[in-house]
Amino acid sequence: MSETTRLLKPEELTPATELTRQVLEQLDRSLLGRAELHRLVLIGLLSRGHILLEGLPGLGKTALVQTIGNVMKLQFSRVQFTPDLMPGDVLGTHILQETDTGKREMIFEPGPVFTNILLADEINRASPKTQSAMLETMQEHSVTLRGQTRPLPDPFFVLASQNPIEMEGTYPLPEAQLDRFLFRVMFDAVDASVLQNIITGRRRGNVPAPEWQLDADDLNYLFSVMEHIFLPKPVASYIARLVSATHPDNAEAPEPVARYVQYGASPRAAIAMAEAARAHALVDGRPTVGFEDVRAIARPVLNHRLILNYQARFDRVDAHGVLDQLLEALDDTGLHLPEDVSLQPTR
Amino acid sequence: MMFRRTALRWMGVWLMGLGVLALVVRLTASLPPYWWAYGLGSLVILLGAAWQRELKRRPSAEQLRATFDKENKAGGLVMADAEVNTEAWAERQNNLRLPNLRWRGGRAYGGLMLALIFLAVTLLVPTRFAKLLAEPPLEIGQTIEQAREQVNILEEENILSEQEAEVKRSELERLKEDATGFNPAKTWEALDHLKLSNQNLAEQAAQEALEKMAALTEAELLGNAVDKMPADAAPDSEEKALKELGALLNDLLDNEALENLAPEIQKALQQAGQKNLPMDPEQLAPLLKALRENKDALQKLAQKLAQNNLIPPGLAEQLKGAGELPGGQALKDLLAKGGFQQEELREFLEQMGQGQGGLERGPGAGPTQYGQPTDEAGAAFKEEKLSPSVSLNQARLAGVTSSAPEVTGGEAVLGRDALQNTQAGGGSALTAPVLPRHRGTVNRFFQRGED
Repeated sequence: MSETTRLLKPEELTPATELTRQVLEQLDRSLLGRAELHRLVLIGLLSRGHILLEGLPGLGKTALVQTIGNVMKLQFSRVQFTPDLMPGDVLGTHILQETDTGKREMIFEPGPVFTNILLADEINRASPKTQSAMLETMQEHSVTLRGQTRPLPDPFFVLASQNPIEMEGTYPLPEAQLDRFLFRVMFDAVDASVLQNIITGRRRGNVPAPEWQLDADDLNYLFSVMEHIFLPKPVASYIARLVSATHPDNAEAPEPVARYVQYGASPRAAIAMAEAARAHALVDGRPTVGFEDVRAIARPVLNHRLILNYQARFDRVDAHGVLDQLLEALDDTGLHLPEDVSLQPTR
Repeated sequence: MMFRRTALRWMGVWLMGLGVLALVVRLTASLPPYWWAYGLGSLVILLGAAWQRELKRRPSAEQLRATFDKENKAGGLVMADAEVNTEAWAERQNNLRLPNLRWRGGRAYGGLMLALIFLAVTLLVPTRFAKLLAEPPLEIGQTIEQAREQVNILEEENILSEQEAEVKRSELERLKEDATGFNPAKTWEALDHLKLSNQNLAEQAAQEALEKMAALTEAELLGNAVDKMPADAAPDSEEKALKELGALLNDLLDNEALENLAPEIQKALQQAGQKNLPMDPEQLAPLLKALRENKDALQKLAQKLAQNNLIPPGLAEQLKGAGELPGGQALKDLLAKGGFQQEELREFLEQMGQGQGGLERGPGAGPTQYGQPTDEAGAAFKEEKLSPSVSLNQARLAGVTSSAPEVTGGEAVLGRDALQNTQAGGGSALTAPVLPRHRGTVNRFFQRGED
C-alpha cells in the first residue's frame, strides 16, 4: 500500500481537526452569526481554492477576509477594483531606475497580487482587461511580465467580492474566470438577534483582534493532512456522476437540468468538488470522504458553473433551484432502489 | 425479496393475460383438456425469467458497501475499508448494523389477488353470459315485424307468390338471429335492402292499378253517359256509344282489369264485340256496378299499401284521383277517340242535357252568360300628353362660352342636359366645373401651346 493511499491514524488527524476547530472558533468570535459561512471559507482555503463572495454592501465581506488574514497570520492585500484599474496596478510593473553604478535598468515593482491573501473587492467593477490579468495568478499562482515568470507566495488565495445589485457600469465575470473560483458563497442578511449582539458588542463595528493565530507551519501541516484524506471509489463515482448529470444531454440528468441548463459544469468542477469534500471531511474529523461531504459542498462548488438558458430566466429558476433538484434526484450509492423498496436502520 | 417482488408483479400480469386468453378460448371454442398444465408450465418459465432478471440486476459489492456506509452514517469508512486498511479506526466501526430492506408490497399483492379473481371469473362464468357479453344483441324486433307484415300484405294481394313470400320470411328470421351489436350496420343494411325490394314490388303493383283505374274510369264515364241518355235520343248515337262501351269493356276483360263480372254478361260482351254489334243496353246496370266494385277494390289496395309504408302516400292519392269521374272535356275526348264526328258529338252531348258539361258554356249547373262588358269607371288611367323630346341633332346651338356657369335664377342657361359643361366642337367630356379662382391657371395651361 503506497503512502498516498494510507489512511490517516486518529492521532494524526485529531490535531489537524483541532486546528480547524480553533480557526473556526476565532472566526465565529470575530464575526457573529456566520458559522456556516466561516466553515465554507475555511474548507475553501484548505482546498487551496479561490472564493467569490457575493452579497449586498455592509454584510461583512471585507471584514471576513481581513479576519482570515489576521487569524492565519498571512500576508494580506486589498485591491479596490474600479473601471480605470489597469493590470499593472494589480500585477506590478517595471520602472526605469538608475542603479548605484549609474546605469539605468527596468526594475520590477511587485503589485498587490504578491501576497498570501488577496481581497479583490468588487471585482466586477474592473474592466475585462484587468479581470483577465487575474487568470494566470489564480490558475498558475504566478505572474509573467516581459517574458519573466515570477511565482506568487505560497499559499495564495484570491477572495473576491462582488455586489449583486448596482450592475450598471460593471463587467460581469466571464465564465472562464468564474470557473477558476472554487466556491461562490452567497452572503445573506443576518437575523435580528445577531444584529442586536453586533450593535451591543461592537462599537462602530470594529472587529476584535484574534486571540489565537494559525502560523505557517500549522497551515502547512493542515495541507499535508489534506493530502491523506481518503476518497473512496463510490464517492469519487458519485462526484463524477453528479458533475456529468449537470449536462443536459446526460442520461442521468433530471428533468430540470435538461430543461434549464445550457452548459453543465467542467472537469475542473469535479476536481474542486473532490478537494472540497476532503476538506469538509477533515473539518468534520474524518479520515475518509463520505456522501454527506459531497452534498455539503456541492452547491457552492456548482452554483456558478451552471450556465442556464433563457427558459430558466423566463421561469425565474436559478442555479440553486436546479442544483437542489439534481441532488434530490441523483442516487448517491447508485443502487437505484424502486420506489416501493426502502432501507431502514436496524433498531 | 427483489425476486419475490418481481415474481409477484409479473404473476399478476400473467394471470390477467391468462384470464383474457381463457375467456377468448371459451367464447370461440372450448378449453383444451389439460389447459391447467399449459398454465403451470408457463408459470414456471415466468418465474425463471424473473429469477434471471433479478440476478442481472443484483447490486455490486461496491454499491452494497456504499449503501451500508451511508445508512450507518460511517462517513466513508466502510467504503474505504475495501481499498485501504482501516484498523486504526475500528472503534468507529463497532456499532455498524445492517439496514433492513423494506418492501411495501401491498399493491403487488393486491394486483395479484385481483388477477386471481379475474381468472376465476373468466373460468367460472357461464358461457351464455360470456357470449352475451361478447355479442350484445341488436334490438330490431319491431322492424322485423313491420317487414314481415309487409310481406304478408304483398302475399295477400297476390303481388308476391307464396314461395317468394316464404323466402323473404325465412330471410327475415335469419337476420333476427344473426343481428349483433358489434356490427349493426350490416344488419340494418340487409333490412333496408329487403324493405326496398318490398316497396319496389308494391309500387309496381300500384302503377299497374293506376292504369287499370284509368281504364275502368273511362268505361264508367261512358257507361254513365249512355245510361243517362234521354229516351228520345237519336238511335244512331246510342248504338255508336254502346259499341264503343262494348269495345272498352272487352279491352278491360282482355287485360284482366275487370273481375267479378257475371259469366253470361262476359260471354255476351265478347260475342257482341266479335260481331261488331252494340252491347245489350239491359246489361248496362250490372256492368256499371261491376266497374264501381273493381274501382273500389283497387282503391282499397292502394290504401292498404300506403298504410304499410309500401307505396308513397302521393301514389295512393293519385290512384284515388284517377278513380273520380272527369268532366265534359274528358267525355268529349273519349267519344272523339271512338269516332264521333264534331256534329255528332255536339248532338250527343246536347242530348245529355245541361249541367253535364257542354262544349262552349263550360261546367256548372246554369248557362254561362257573356256580353256584359266591365265598367272601366275609376279603373282606367288618365290620359296625359307628355312633352316631346328633342334629339341632339335637332337641337339649336345658342352660343359658346368658356366662362364659368352663372346662376341665372331660373332663366335659360347655355349648355343644358348632355351638353352641360362641354365645349362645342371640342369633344370635351369634362364635367367638373372650373372655379373662378382656378380659371386663370387653367387658361394659362391650355394657352401655353398657342404661345
